[in-house]
Amino acid sequence: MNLFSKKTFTRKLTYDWPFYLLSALLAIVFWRGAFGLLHRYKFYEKVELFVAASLEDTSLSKVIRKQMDDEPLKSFEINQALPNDHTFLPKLHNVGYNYSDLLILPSSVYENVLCDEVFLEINDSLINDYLDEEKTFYKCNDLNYGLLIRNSSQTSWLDDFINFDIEESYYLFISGASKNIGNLGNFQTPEYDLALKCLKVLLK
Amino acid sequence: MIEVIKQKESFLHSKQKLQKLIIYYVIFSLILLSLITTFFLMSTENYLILLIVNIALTISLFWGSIYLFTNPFKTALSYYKFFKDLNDGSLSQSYVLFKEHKLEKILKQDLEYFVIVVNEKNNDNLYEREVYSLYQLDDFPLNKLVKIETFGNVLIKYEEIK
Repeated sequence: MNLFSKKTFTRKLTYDWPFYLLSALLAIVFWRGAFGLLHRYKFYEKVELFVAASLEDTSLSKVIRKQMDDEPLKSFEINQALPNDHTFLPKLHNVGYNYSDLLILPSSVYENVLCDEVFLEINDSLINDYLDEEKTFYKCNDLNYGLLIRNSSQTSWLDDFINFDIEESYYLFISGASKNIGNLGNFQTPEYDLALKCLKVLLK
Repeated sequence: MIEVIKQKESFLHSKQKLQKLIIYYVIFSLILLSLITTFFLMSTENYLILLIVNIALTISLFWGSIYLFTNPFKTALSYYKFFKDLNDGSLSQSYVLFKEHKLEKILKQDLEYFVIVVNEKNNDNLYEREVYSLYQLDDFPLNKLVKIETFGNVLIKYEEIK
């Protein structure tokens, strides 16, 4: 009783080869997905920045991560959208307000936004804890909401990476929906404040 | 009467082989699955090597399973079914003249058979027909009249007629 016959195997292989091929592909796709899911960055390990301008150099996230070397920042993701693009507003509402921790917006955009509804107010304790020098703020109803990044008279180190419109003023806003701003926003996550720690790097 | 296939013995032997295959498959699968799960759970952020190892182990498991269930397991199951039917069924008798024992095997329903060409006398006419045998016959009674007992045209017993 010969169960292991090479002749039978080669004969059946002509019919069964798609199963061998599909199973190999399935194994690769499955494990790539499973490992990716298991080791995906937790919300407190990544910061997302929404930029309303075009990105010139994609190495910006690497540069920021390098500067945040002491912090547990594993990923710094940048989402860009152009204000004159017809998909800009949906992107701003979905990606910007809901999933981003920080936003860099030009005057043509932030002047039409109800700041107290979407952005975090920059109060004195936040300034004392996370900013080390005098900054220019964007005020709305006499409260501070944005931090000046650049305008026609002030340049930024980000000019090398982001293609800012020189006629506009750009401010950095903190999203109230971020989970990386301690317990200052909508979520009570006091031990996670990576987004606030990134402020110094972006504003230097 | 020379028994080409010992019915009870063959049935038990085929049953044992089938059980062995299943047990070995379950043991090897469990070992591979536990390795795969361990590697997956102990992986760190630099998981490239463990990812490749897990893909290789999973492909081995898949290919092993496909091979087993399309080749040895299928053959063992065919043997088991054949011997079980043989045990439960009845044999048909005929008188034939052994003409040729072909050594090349043919494949029928996942079983390999030797072909024996015989002449059978029926209503004063001589017909040539083929009888199959699972095993090669040692003392092939060439050109001799024999009484054969077959099951589904597979030779089970034969006896030389003097």
